[in-house]
Amino acid sequence: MGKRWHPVWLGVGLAVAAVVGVLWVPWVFVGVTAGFATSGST
Amino acid sequence: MLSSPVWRGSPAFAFRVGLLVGGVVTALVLVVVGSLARAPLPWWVRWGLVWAVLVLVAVNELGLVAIRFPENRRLVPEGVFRLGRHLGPLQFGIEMGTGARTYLPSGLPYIAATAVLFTASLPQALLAGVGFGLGRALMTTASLNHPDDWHALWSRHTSFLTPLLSGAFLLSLLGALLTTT
Repeated sequence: MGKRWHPVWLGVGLAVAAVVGVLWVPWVFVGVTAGFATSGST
Repeated sequence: MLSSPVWRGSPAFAFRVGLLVGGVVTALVLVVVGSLARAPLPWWVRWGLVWAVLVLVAVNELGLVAIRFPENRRLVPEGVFRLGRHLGPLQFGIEMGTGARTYLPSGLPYIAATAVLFTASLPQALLAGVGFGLGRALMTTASLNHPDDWHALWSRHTSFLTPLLSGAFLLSLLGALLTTT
């Protein structure tokens, strides 16, 4: 069940969400994609 | 550090709240400073600066040039947990959420920060700050819930994830451009 948290699935899901959400809340996705992209830091 | 049992339950929640707070704090600082810096500049110059940073990040990531962007090249010290079971993770989260406390392995936050600095209104800056915290919290949540070494998986798939997230970021930035011009 925890496999759904795989980084590839999350990355693809985030990209799809950005495509849909860019029309309404682009600034949120500017932040989310930048924040998630730093995932190698901890 | 995140695999420790202390990161289950409410301490992990406090850490995520801290990430959101940290993102908002950075966004507020940027928009306050930016409101002064951007005042004499027309909108196309402000966005030109954003795209200039984007180009610098891109050529740096592609290895065409070696640019040292400002970065706090230190790990967050263990002493951050001295405040206790919840306040410690909260403080740790705030520091991580600011994006200014430790290493930044991606160039995208520099572009986002420049966009907020020069172009965002206060509500837009807050949305970006919350988003940044959410993005970092998503990593934390995934890492805690995945049965394998999540960061090893990330490293294994980085050649796919980096262009994917960069594309999603660029699309979002274009959307942000449309909302501010």
